[in-house]
Amino acid sequence: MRIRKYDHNFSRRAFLEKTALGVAGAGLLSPLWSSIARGADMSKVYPDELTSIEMYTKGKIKAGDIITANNVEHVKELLDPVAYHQVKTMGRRIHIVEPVKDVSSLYPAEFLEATLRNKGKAVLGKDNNVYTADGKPWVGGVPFPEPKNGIEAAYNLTLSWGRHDYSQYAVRDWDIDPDGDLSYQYDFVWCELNTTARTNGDIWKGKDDLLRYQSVFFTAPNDSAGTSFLSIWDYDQSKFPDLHGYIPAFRRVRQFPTNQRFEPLVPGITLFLSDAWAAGDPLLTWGNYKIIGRQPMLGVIGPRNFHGGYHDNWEKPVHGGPKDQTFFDTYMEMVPECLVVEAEPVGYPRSPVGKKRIWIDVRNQMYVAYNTYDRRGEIWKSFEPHYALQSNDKMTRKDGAHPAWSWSSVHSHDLQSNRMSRFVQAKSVVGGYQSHYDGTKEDVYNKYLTVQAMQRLGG
Amino acid sequence: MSYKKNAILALLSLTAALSGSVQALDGSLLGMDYNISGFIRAEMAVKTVDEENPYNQRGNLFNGVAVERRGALPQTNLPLLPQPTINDTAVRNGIPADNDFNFTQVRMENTIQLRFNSNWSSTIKLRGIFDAAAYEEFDPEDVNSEAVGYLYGEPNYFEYDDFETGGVQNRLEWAGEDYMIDIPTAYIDYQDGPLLIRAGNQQIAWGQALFFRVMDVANGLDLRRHLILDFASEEYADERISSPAIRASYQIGVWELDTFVQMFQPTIYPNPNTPYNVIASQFTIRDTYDSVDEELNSGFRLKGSIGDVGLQFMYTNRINPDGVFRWTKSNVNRDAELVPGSGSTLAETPLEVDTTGVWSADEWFTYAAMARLDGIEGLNTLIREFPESQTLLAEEVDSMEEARRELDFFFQASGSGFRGHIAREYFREDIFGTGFSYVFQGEPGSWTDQLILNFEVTYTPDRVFTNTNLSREYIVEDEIISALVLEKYQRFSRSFPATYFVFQWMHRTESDLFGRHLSGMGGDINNTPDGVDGWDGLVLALQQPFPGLVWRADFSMLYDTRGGLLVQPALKWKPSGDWNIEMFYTYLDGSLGDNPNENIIETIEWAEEFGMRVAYQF
Repeated sequence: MRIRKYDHNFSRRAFLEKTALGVAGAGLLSPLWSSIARGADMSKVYPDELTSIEMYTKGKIKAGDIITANNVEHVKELLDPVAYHQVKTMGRRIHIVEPVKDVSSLYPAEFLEATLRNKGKAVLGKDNNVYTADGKPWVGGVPFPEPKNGIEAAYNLTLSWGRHDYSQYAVRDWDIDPDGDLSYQYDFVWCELNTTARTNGDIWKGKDDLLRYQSVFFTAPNDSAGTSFLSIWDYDQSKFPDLHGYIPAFRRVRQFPTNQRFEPLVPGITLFLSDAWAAGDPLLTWGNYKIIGRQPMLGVIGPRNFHGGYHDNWEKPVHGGPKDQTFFDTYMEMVPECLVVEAEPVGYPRSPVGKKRIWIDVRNQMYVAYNTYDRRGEIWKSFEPHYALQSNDKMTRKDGAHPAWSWSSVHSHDLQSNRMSRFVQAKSVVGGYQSHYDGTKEDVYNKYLTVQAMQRLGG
Repeated sequence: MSYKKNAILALLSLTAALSGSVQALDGSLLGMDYNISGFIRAEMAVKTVDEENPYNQRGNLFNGVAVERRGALPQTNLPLLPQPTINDTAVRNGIPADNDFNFTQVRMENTIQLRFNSNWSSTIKLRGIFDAAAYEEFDPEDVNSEAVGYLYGEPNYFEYDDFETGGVQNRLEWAGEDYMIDIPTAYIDYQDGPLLIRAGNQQIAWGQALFFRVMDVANGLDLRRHLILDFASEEYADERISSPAIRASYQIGVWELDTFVQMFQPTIYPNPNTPYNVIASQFTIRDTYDSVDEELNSGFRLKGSIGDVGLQFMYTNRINPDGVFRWTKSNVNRDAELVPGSGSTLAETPLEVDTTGVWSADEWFTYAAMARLDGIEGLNTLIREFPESQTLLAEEVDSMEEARRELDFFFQASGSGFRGHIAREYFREDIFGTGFSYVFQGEPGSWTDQLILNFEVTYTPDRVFTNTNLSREYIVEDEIISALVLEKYQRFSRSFPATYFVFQWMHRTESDLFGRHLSGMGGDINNTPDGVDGWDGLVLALQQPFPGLVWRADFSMLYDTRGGLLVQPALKWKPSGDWNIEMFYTYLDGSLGDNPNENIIETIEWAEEFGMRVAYQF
């Protein structure tokens, strides 16, 4: 048992004060970002009760324990409501691990360097888009490491989704029905290429009017293979992306409307375009962004959540639910301080979503939990991300000179229909496409991010 | 009936049996990624109307019908002789069918995808189809028919090439009477930067318009299986004929140049006496594909945008895959029953004596109108362009009355009926096209929010059309085809996903949607066609997914402004990852206008049906 330096309610009071006063800086004992810049660990920034679950729960839960229905009450306020429900009623089990001490393991190295290099350079323009002081598109990294409001916090998620200039995710998805049976399984590839907000500050091929090219193409099963969509995002976050799609039945690429973002991509999956990175829509098509609180959380953020070395294709063991296959095994740890941000879909008058609530880890400004609510105010979905530095006791996967960092899996749970889509970032999927973050490895733009590419990938 | 039941049971059993024995494969071999997947699907359509296909022998409108014939020779031939009218009653001996099914097929498709490296990949698709033929089929022995030609005996569902021996024209297809196996996709892709080259058997589809083919001109259609009455949401995916081609595209910024050179492959019409046949089976077709089977089509399209406006320009030089028809010699030496020795003369004309031919003037004019032909001028052309017919005292006529007398006379003389032999020929044409698109950005939730507008138009100078008199002097006219397309998602309910809407308007200046010249419109049993100006069609299509997309309701409507309506409500159900079920009802009414022979739906009105497809994928 460690000796507590501050009483149990110290952090709760401090977070309430910061939220009420609109204090932007993260950290309770010392400023977070000064510590990150010095490479200091979190013990100097937060009291023990926020870095140790053992301290937080007064010894009832400790690293190495498994959260089950029998002990989840001790961490109820550290979980989003859906995760709590999953453990309490659906047989989900959560492994508890020691928290990461080095904040750099929560970032791709180059993205953290850009964040530190460009700290303080971002401003919100009159049009509410993010610019540098001289009116140029954002130059890389987290634009607002210490967000003063909800919109700044949301921009931290939006401008560089995957925190690499190029990300290619080979995704294997399993869709579990309310009876716990596997009803659908899909393989698809998701590509993101930023033209602005790049880590080295350059503009990709002069495309300063764009934010990114993004595509998704399905490779299995047979009736979905070839279905491909290309979104071209304007830098101006009030504009909808151009959407071009290849539907196998039409044998050609056609342009599609892009304002409907709350529908499944394919039958049975609960993933919506709007869900991507808790910021799947152009930021200014949502509104009423606000920070409603700060709190510690449990998050799936540590390297044990990378299954390279444990499975040839980085797939994860499953458990829970009626057929013992509804949830991935996940390893959670204390996240000392999260912003709780809410926003409403003001640009979608008939959206089934009434609001979204996002819990954002202030250390890397990445979300660790995300719930959407229906128009009645009832929780609808949880989109729970699992991240990892790709370096565990079995293997290390490099991204340049450093271990790679990315998401490793997601639980997308439609609570109201009780359908679970769980998907992993696999090593590769049907078709031989592999996950990687190197935009120079091949001609990714022409191969995966053009209308011509959609035609080729579609067949 | 037991045969039908057995056939359907066999289809379902085969589907179920194969569904348990096949599986997808994927992996890597010698550095090459491979993926093999496919599906097996039972497909059927149940008739929902009593009408039989009138273009087939067993659906002929005159089977068993007593028709008064009043035959007489033309007066001008024998002016000094009396011209008695020969009255009799003809009863066509065709045996009417009473089909329950229009369609009973099972198909298996297998797709092999190979990725050799970052630049090279290949896709091969194998397709096999078996028709259980749960239909009341035509049997020539039942009507004492001796009609020549491979396809004019018992029905053959898939072969169509050689007049004497059947076979197929597609280079990667093998077919028999009730099965076909082909490779609709077999190509290699090479990508290097903005250059993509695809070489091999492939479909090429251009344009934003769906179902209305404005820029979608590269390939003909294979209509053998389910005509155009498949699940409407799939457009022409199963019909568009693949062809060996080299396609190269090059992307420069927002502009893409897409070019192709392909081997010519004609449209395939359903065979006579098969369920969806749309060419009157009193005709015998002699295809001249052999004379153009080495010809090439080519074209390019430039597509991009300036500001918010999308633009495209296209040009195609092709042989029109639909072909055109004209009278041709029958080469059948068979005497008319009442004119011994006439066979050698008839062989020099388009006529063949046979019970499966036309029996009366009433039938002649009825079917001429249905085929958008001119019955009088068709007769005159036959006589004029085949002078041997005049040795049998045939002579051109000036009026409906004269034509009827002469036709009935020769039908009486035949002792049964006359088949008409026609040649199918192909002509080259140039198609110039352009189009633009614009995405409206209206108030969120409004009807102009993300409304996509597309307009496409093509101009084809000197397009060749079948003459309404079946003359070898074809109709040659410039044709303009245009389509306006509006599409958008609109959400009406918070609990249901958005509804997808497509509205289209097509206008054609010279032909209808099936390519028939408009001067043949408007005939009937008593009148030759007056023709019409311009063809207009409207399409409204909706797709309403249910939450989770496990169910989807579709609605497709095609309205021919001269009184034809096709409505297809459909349900698509994907109960699990492996199974997919589609149900669709196709309602057809060609009688909403003044004259049913002025709209396209009348031609297929008898095909009203309930369709169902059950697929297992692996």
